Amino acid sequence: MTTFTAETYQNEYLAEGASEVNAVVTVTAAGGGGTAQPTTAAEIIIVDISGSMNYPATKMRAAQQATSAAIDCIRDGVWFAIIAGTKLAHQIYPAPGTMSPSSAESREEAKQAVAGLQAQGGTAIGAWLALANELFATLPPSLNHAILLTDGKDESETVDELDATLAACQGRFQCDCRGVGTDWVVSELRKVASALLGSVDIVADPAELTADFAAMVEHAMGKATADVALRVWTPQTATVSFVKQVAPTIAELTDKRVPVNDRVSDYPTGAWGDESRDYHVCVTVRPGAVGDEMLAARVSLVVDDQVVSQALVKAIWTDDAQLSTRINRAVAHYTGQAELAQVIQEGLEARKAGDDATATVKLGRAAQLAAASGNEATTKLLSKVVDVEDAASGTVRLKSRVEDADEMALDTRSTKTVRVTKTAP
Amino acid sequence: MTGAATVSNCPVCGAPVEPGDQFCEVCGTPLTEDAKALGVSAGEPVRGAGSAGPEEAWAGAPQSHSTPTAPAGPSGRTAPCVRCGAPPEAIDVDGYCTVCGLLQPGPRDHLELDLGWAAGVTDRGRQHPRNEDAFHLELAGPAADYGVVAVVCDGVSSSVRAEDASESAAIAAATVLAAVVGGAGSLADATVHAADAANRAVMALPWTPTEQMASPACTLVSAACRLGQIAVGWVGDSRAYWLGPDPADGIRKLTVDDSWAEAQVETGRMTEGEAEADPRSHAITRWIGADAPAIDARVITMTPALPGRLILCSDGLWNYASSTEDMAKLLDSQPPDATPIELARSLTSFALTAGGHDNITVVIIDLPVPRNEPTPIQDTEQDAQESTEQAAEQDAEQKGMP
Repeated sequence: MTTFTAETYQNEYLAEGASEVNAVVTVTAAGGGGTAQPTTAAEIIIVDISGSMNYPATKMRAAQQATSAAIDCIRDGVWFAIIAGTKLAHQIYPAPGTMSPSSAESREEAKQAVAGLQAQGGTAIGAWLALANELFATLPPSLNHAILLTDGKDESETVDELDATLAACQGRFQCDCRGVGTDWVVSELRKVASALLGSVDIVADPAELTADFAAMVEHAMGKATADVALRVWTPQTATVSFVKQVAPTIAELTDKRVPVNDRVSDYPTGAWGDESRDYHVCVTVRPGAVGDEMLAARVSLVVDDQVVSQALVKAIWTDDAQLSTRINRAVAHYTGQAELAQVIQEGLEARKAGDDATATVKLGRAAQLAAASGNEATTKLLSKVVDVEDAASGTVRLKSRVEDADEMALDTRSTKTVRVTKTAP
Repeated sequence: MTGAATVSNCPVCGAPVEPGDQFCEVCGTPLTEDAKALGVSAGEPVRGAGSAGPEEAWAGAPQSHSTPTAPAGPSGRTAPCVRCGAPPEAIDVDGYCTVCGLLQPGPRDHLELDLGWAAGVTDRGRQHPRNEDAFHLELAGPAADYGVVAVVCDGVSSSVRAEDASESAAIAAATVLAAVVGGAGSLADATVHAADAANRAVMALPWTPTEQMASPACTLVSAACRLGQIAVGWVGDSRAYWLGPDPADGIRKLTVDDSWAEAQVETGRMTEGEAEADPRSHAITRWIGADAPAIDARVITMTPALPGRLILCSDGLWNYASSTEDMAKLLDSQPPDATPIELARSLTSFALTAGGHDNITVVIIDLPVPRNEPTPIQDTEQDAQESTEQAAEQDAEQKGMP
């Protein structure tokens, strides 16, 4: 049985008249044993087989191998299906409209179907997801997870069609997205992953697909609790400015708000294994008098509509500047990590648009933030796009030649954060 | 929405509720008309004061509150929110208004106890949301012996459950002292035992470790008096003063703060002025609580020849008259005929007017002329193993300001 704990990290002291309350809430799930009952989990693998997958031919073969490896990782009893995508969605295993429980035999049949795939046609990600949604709907409530692999732009349908499908799929299943090669669009796949509470990453070299696919399925199999929501209560005169996951990755939740009543809203966080995540909650309140203490937010974890843990976010007004000017380390750290992700994305956009001045400033700030926070992975990715002259001051020069794959890797991985060691503010 | 039994979420906190639930399991809000009419709640018992003392001697004991007749909320309160006027049932078990969020004034925000020749006042002050000071004052033994026990504790604000620490410590210490004052044992020994009992009481408080807050902790200053004998003990920076009958004799500070500033002065590293100006000056070097470096109370006993006034106070008062000269001036400025309760109120008002930056507690005891043969003042400092050098060495273990 998984137990959840929630703990608040904040400086609750505010200066007179201040109205913005910031807190990092760390949620930890433990004791789940890392496994769901097999029959309550479902996995669908969606493979792009558009014509471009043949260029080079190694890409299609790698996708087939990776899918086979992923199939091997599906535990016995887990319901699964394989979808091949062109401008239409084709169910290649099992029989159309059904899902099959995983067994040595069914996995072998599925792998044979994958081996027979031929690349041809267009790309319509929305159509693929719509079929996955239909298949998941044939099962009783389960831990529904999908993997989507594509190598190109979503060009066989309109943006509105994709958006409508994403809206229909939200809350029904989670989807981790992978782009292979460099002809796909980071922002497009990020939108899909964000809507479906999944990750997005680039697999530049098709040879790396197999390990990545296996890892994703292993990770999905480790989830024990479905549909966990972060419930935020605020007082009548307060408003939630934002709620975002800040570790292990930045994921904006503010616009995923589901109102429960006037003062209470739920923010979906998907399925949980034994893991820990950090959330940054920012609430705007009506300032109190010096000496007043106020409950600015009550943050709870909700599973099956039951509150399983909660943390309090407080505000205390003081005229003691020593107290009110301290910034909690966790809040400061994650504010920096969120800015890091933002300036990387803005910097790369400016670079693409030919605005080198803006790109240099933004990516310089990124280098500074990444170095200061010890985010070595991001520092390394940045160094392939800019020459860092002085990280402390954020002085960088744009590289004249940048590999597409490096730029896309920096973009997709900009949201990965490093955790903070939390101590007193 | 017609009946409460059909709601699926608490209207106050949003927690899910089952059909038929009388109360919200999370915040205790009554959900049905019946539950509202009951005027009771499913929530936790009232936390903090009110339930404080084992005896009525505690100023927060129920006698100071009228019997609740209006429906009480989960917090047991009967008053609406002081800011937004939400009804009492909208106040949650932690004391927050579930409509506007404001922490409601606690029963400990201002408490007074007037026992005639002994009296005490504690006040939240103007800057802290809670009163983490606590005092216990009671008469003990036969009336003719003028036996009295007083304990003032100041919860360390950087520790969890500071308000519970101070309250538990005050009650535990006073219980030990009252038994001895009413009997024949040594007041000095009882004072050491009382601090031990206070420490055990604070250590027994359940608490959840956090990375931000220390374990429950507080200061303690106690006075045990019987037949003109006085024993004062302390751990931390709450103080005791002795005020003789002739103002010209001035006042005596009986305690020596277990504070960083005092350690600097005692070891000659800094002057009083330099030490006071240092941001660390108020960090205490000894306290009551689980991670305390040593809790042996320092004890001073005296047998005054003449009647006088004993004053116990937390730093919420003495911060505004830190030096003995300033405290003497402050006391000089008070009406000479003030009764103990009047003086305690007046000193509290002084601290509030001066800014009220911390919780304020003042206990005044008028000790009469002893019936026994008067003896000259004799001071013996006992249990002085806590030398100032040791105190100075404990810099590394300083607590935050209480």
